Formats: sequence, structure tokens, C-alpha cells
Amino acid sequence: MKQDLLQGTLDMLILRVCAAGPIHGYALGQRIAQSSKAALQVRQGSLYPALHRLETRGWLKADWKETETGREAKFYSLTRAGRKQLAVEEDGWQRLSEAIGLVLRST
Amino acid sequence: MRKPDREERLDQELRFHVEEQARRHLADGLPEQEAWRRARAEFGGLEAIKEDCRDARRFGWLEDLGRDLRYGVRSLGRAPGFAAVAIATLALGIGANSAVFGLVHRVLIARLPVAQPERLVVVSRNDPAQNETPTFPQLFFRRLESESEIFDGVLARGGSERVTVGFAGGGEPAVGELVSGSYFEVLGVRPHAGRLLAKSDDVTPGAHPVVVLSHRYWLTRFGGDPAVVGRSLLLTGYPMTIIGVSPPGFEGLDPGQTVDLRLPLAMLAQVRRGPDAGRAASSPPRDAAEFNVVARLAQGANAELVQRRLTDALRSFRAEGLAGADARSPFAADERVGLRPAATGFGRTRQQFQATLWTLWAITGAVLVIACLNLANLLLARAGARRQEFAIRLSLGAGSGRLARQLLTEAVLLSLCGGAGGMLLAYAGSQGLARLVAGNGAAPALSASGPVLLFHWSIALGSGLLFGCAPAWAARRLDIVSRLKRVSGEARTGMAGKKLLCAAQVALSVVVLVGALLFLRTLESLKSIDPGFRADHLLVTALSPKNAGRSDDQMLPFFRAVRERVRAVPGVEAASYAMVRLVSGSSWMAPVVVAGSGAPARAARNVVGPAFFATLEIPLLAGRDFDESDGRLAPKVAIVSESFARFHFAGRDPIGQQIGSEAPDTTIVGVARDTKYAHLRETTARLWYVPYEQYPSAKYLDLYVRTSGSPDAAIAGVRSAIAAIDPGVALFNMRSQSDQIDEMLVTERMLASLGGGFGVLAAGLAALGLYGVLSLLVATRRREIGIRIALGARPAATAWQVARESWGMIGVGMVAGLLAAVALGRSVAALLHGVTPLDPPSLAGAVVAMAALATVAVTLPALRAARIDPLQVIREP
Repeated sequence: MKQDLLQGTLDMLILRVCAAGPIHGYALGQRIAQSSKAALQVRQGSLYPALHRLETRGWLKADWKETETGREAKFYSLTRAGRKQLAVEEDGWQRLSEAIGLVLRST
Repeated sequence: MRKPDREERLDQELRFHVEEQARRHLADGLPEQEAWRRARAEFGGLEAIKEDCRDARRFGWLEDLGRDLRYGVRSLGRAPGFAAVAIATLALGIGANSAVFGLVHRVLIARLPVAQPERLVVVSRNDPAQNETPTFPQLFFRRLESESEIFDGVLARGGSERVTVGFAGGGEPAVGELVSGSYFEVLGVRPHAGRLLAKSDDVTPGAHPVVVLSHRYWLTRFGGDPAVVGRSLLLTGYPMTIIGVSPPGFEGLDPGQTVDLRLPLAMLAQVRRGPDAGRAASSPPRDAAEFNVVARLAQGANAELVQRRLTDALRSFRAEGLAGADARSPFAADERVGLRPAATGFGRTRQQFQATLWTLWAITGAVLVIACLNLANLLLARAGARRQEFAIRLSLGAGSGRLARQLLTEAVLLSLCGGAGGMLLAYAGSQGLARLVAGNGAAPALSASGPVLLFHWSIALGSGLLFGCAPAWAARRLDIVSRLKRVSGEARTGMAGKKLLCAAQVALSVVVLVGALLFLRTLESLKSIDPGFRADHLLVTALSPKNAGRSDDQMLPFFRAVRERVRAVPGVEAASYAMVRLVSGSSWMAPVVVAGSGAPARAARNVVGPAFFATLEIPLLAGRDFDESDGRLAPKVAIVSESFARFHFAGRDPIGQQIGSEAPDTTIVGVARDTKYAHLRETTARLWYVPYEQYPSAKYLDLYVRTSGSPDAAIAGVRSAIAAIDPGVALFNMRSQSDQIDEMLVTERMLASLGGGFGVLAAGLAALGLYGVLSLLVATRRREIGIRIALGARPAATAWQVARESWGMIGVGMVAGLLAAVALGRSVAALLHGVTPLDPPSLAGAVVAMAALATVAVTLPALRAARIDPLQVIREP
């Protein structure tokens, strides 16, 4: 089952995953898929532009480092502004999902 | 090793993804080829993703800008009063600046609208004493024209000539310019209609009756009718054919001068001598040097080599001349030729206005800087008031860099609005300035050209960035500061910067005020100069009957008849003539021979009519005025000025002495009081006068009319009296003598009026700035002041404390301003008259004016401090 991501939630997921430590684009896509038990598949066509957008915003910062297999890859990590942004978005998401849950339960 | 660029990195990043995917498929047991194929297919369009990534970067920045702008508009909308004051201040500063720049650009910077102006040079000659003369005899120019290998082309032009154009309604004055046939070709100017002059139009003297109209004259006088090309025009009594119209915007080599029509140099005698051109057998004297020579250098020409070859040419030309009649030629053998770039043109307008325009521009620049400092302060104050808003945005995750960018965007938004308002002001201002520069002549069209628009919007943007820097820089520290809960501590550290900005404004205003006062006092001192004659109720106009086709022997009867008729016009008290119009910039210096004195001397001359001294009300100290009896056949007589008499006849009675231009053949019959001659600023000239009937070549005379009422009211009567004698005679430069003198003061008036206006504006802005900062100071310290009052401080004492604190920064600003004014004074010394750059009344006046404004600015907030009610303050949350 593949699920399209709600507009704007991809950014939040990327920030969340990056919060755990520096990670490159490929691993990030894998991590989201694994964590959602393959329910969420992020397309490369959305993932990379999103990463670049968040980097331009100043929420992510990028470093070129060697992977465990000894090749160079671009690792993204969260900045201080990104951490605050993540908090804001998680808070917003929490409220939204609670609200939707309330509506779904009451009808 | 080179650092990989952004594109390479992007490619590397995406390829890494595909490789990882392929490895994974390999690990799952797929054959290598299939693993790679599938990885690529899963990844999708590589180029499309790359493009999306690039967009994400680009639009991230644009999105931020858009958001900042929207937010900026909203936040300015919440403070419409602040926005209005800020935009008005900026509109004044920016508008004034670009209005003056429009003129600076037009007169001093803009290149001539001709082909490759950078290759044009104006040729001049330098005598051993390094006096530079930019004119040459026509014959020398003809020789240069034949030596074509020195330049790519060479042209000659004379000064402006009065030309009478015969229309059905009578003769009309126009400004003509004699140019060589190569003129348009060398400049590379294309005709607007018909054709322009060519070399074949300038071969045989008197044989080329053709004329090219300027685009402006063609529009105003012929309604832009293309059919006039080919038509005949009566010019100085000669029918001449209009062969074409020069292009719009082309005003010749002297920007600011307006020329109506251009004629070939070969028609010199016809233009100058009218119907006597043919009879004039003798060519003009060889050394009558009166033509500017402008050359087009060949591509990559060696200017030094050209200069040397020209010097050789000039010397051989001189050597030939010395063998003939010009044995007394004053030109030394070691004359050298100089070349100056002519890309921006040359001529009187440039020289006359250069220093004035740079000075005015500097003043408007200072006003704009004051406006920027003012806004920097206002925005800092606003940023202080918006601390809470910023704190919220910071806590919501906005970086302090983003906040700074937001503040900068708001500042630029303000300055661009100010720029838009300034456009209107600049347009109106530049039209007014152009009229001032042109004086009585037609104002040169000042269009909003590309460079002027570019300048306008650059300073609009630049000033926004400049004054936006202060609050943006302050915002960088905000996230640290916001953690400090001590509000008043923060307010105080910010206060020092604001005070510094205030002091800088005061200093700049003092400089501008000192300048304005110096220029005002210069104008006053020039205006209070007694010209030595009564300039009011005096009308003057130039007559050139020659121009209207009258021959030499008709001159005297014409001038006599005109004087008789004009004297009979109601409202006219007296009338006379002068060849040199007084205080008009023109002068005639010539050698004078005095009987009994060995050494030849030089003196200023004038040729005048009967009752000249009575008409101009110049007191005669001895002897008599000229009268009708001093005719052509009567004994030759002269009147000298008192300075002339003192210089040449110290102690002796000048009456009865013999003087003359070549031999002492003229008897002095009177001594007149000294008058100003060419300029108000000149040192008194030694002057001698002769009656026009005894001066054989008096062909152009200025008619002086003493009126009982206003001179303007007499114009119609004088005009019709002259038209009754000959409707073909045009009246040139008719105006009152007071206006004539005023015209000579145009740069002084510009500096005094505009300098004064900008001085008031600058001081007003500085006072506004002071008021703003002090109001803020009182507002942020309300609590402290309230508590002090509650503890027994007298309200007057608190007011005094606020005032004392502010006079500190005002004093610093004033001292700095005075020092700067003294340092800068020397650079405007040449523009002053009757005052020195260290003129104490000007320096004191500036300080007093600034102090008066500052007192108002300080007193209002100080009183507010005194009125603070401690009870109310303590009850506040």
C-alpha cells in the first residue's frame, strides 16, 4: 500500500528523521519507508527538491562526508532554526490530527 | 584541488542515490546489468529532478522575499503616520538629488549625441605663458582640412551669431552658428529631414546660400512642417535655401547653448556684413582668431604625435604670416598645440555652471544623508517598540538573520516608495533648474534619460539599504537581548547609537546652513554693488540693421531716426546707444595711445550715442556729455572714466588731452564717474567712450531707453516706433537693465535660493530627528522619571535633566559641523564674493539657527518629562 503524503507533512518527516543525526538522502527515504512499515514511499522527485528547499531555508545544513562503505555522500542534519521549526510543525500536526480524530469519532 | 561547484555536487548527490539503489538490488541477487537498469528506472527523470532542486533553491529565496514584502506592507500599513513621514522625507531627499543630478548629467557628464564622441578632441594653442586659447584663424583651419592624414576629420565652428530671419510680419531674431562644411560629417550626425551641410556647401565665399534648421527651431517656428525643406528663407537680407533639419536632441558642441540654424563658414561675410558683403574687398585680418577647431582622432591615434604635428603646422602657418602684413603679430614662435577631450562638449555653459552644480549636488547629497540618518533612527526606535513582535517571531523559529532581512526589506520598501514620490519632485525640480540655467533663452529639454533614471532608482535603493542597516544590525543581537529581561538596560545601550546618529545629523545640517548663509551673503553683497548708473527704469535692446539688409551708408540715418522716434514714445524720458551692453559679460579691451605717454596701455572701450551719460544717469565729474553735434565730420571727441583719468593724467586736468586707439587724434571733453563694465565682480575698469557717429564700424548698437514707468510697459511703444522705420529690423535680447544684471547673477541666485531651501530642509530634518529620539528617551524612562518625581524631584529639574542630556549631543554635532564647514570652506571660496569662507556671521548664524530649531525639538519632550504623573506611572502594569 502506497500512500501519498499530505502537502507539507513531508517537510516535517524529513526534519524528524534528520533530528536523529546526520543522514544522506537515500537512507532518509529508506528510514521513512521502514518506520511507516512501507506505508509511506517518498518519491525521489519530491525528496530531493524538499531537501534543497529546507537547506535554503536554513532548517537543514549539509556536509559531504564518507559513508561506512567509504564513498562520499551528502549528509543532512538539523540546524537550531530547524529544531524550532520541527517543534512548531509537530505541534501543529498534533492539534490537526487530534481535531480530525475528534471529528471522525463523533460521527 | 578545486572545490566542486554546486551543479557537480547536485549531480553527485543524485548519482549516489542511484548507486545505493543498484547495490541493494545486487545484494538481492539481481544480475549487475538488470540491477542498474532497475535502479535508474525507479529513480525517474534525473534531469527533471535536478531542475526541481534548482527551483527549490531559487524560489526559496524568492518566497522569502515575497513573504517579507507582504509582511512589510502590512506592518507599514499599521503605522500609516510613520510611513507617511518617512516616505515624504525620502521623496524630498531623493527628488532633490536626482533633480540636480539631471542637470549635472546634462551639462557636465552626458556625452554629446554624436558618433563615437570619445574620439573628438578640441584643439587649443598655448603660448609660453601657458595661456590657453581655444580659437584659430579660419585660414589655419582650412590648412588643417587639407592635411587630412593627421585626423579622421576636422571641423570648425564660430560662436553664436545674431541672425535676422525675414517673415511676413517683419524681421525676427534668431541664433545662428557658422560651421564648416565638414561639421555634421565629422560629428557623424544624420539628418532628421532633408540633408545636412556637406563639404561642397563650404567652398567659395558667398556662394553657398544654404541653411540647416535645428529640430527645436523647426518645431517651434515652422510647426514641424516637412515641406519647408527646399523652401527659401530671408536671412540677413539674403534668400537662403533650407536644405534640412538636424536631429532632435542635437544641440551642437556647447550643451546648454541653443542654436536655431547653422550656416556654412563660407557665408561669414553675408551673415556679418549683410548687403556690404560683396563690397568688402579686404578679407578679415589673418589673425582674427575666432573659430573653435574640433577634430576626430583616428582609431588608436597617438595623441602626442598628433599634437606635435599640429604644432609644426601652426608654426609654419605663423612663419608665413609673419613675412607679410602681420609683422607685429603677437604670437610667439614657441606656441604649442594642445588637445582636450571633447566627448562631453565644451563651451561657456559648462564653465559657468561647473562649480555651482557640483556644489549644489554636494548639498543635496548632504540632505539625503541627513534623511537617511533620520530614518535609521526612526526605524531603530520602531524596532525597539516592536521588540515583543520580534521576540514572538524568534521563538517561533525565525532566525535572527531572517529578522534582519525582514527589517532591511521594510527599509527598502520605504525607500522605493520615497523614490516613486521623488520622481514627481525630481521632474518638477529639474524643469525649474533648467529654466534657471537657460536664463532668458529657451530651456534645454531635460528628458528623463536612462542614466538619470538609473541614478534615481540607485540612490532610492541605496538609501534604503543604508538606513535599513542600523535596525537590521540591531536585530542581529536581538535573540541574545531578548533573553535579558531588563528592558531599561537595553534601551540605554541602544540610546548611545541613536544619539550618535542625531549628532551626525546636526553636524551635517550646520555644514549645509553655513554654506547657505555664505551664498546668501554673497548674493546680497553682489546685489548691493552700485553699478555706477541707474539700472532701474532702463530698457535695453540690441539693433542690427545690417542683419535686415541695410548697407553701411544707411546705418547712421537709421540710428538717428530710431533715437528720435523712440524719444517721442509716451513714457520714454531719454534714449541713447552703447555698443557694449553694460554688465552683460561682454567687454572690449583694446590698446590705447595717450599723447605724452610713451608706453602703450590697454583700456576698456565703449561706443555710445548722444546724451548717453544723461540717459544712464552716470554723473559727469568734469566737462560735457556727447550730443548731436559730435557728428561724423566734427572734431573727434572722447569721454574717459575717472579711473582712466587718474591712471593716465594723475594730477593733470584730463579735459583737452589727446588720446586714441592708434594715434592720439581724439580730444577728451569729459570725465565720467566709474561704472561697472562687464561684470559686477570685476575690479573697476579704466574706460573710455567715443560717439558712435565718429566710430566708422558701429553697425550693431544697443538702444538704451530711460522710461518713466516700468520698462516692460514701454516695450510695445518702442517696438512699434522701430517697426515704423523698418519692420525688417529684429530686436535682439530686449529686457530691462535690472533683469540684465540679474541674469549675470544666475549661479549666485541658484546657490543662494536652493542652498537656503536645502539648508532649512536639512535643519528641519535634523530637528525632527532630535525630537523623535528625545521623545523615545522620555517614553522608555517614564517609569524611572515618575519614581524620581514621586521621591521629591522637582518637575523642572527632570525637564532640565532631559534637556542637559540632549544638549550634549547637539553640542558635539555643532562643533563637528563647524569644523567640517571650516575645512570645506576653501573649496567654495571661488563662488563667494564679499565674504570669506570663515565669515563669522555665517558661522554664527548657522549655529544660532540650528540651536533655535534644536531648542524647540528638545523643549517639547522635556516638558513631557516634567508632566509625568508619578501616580499614573506606578499604577501602570
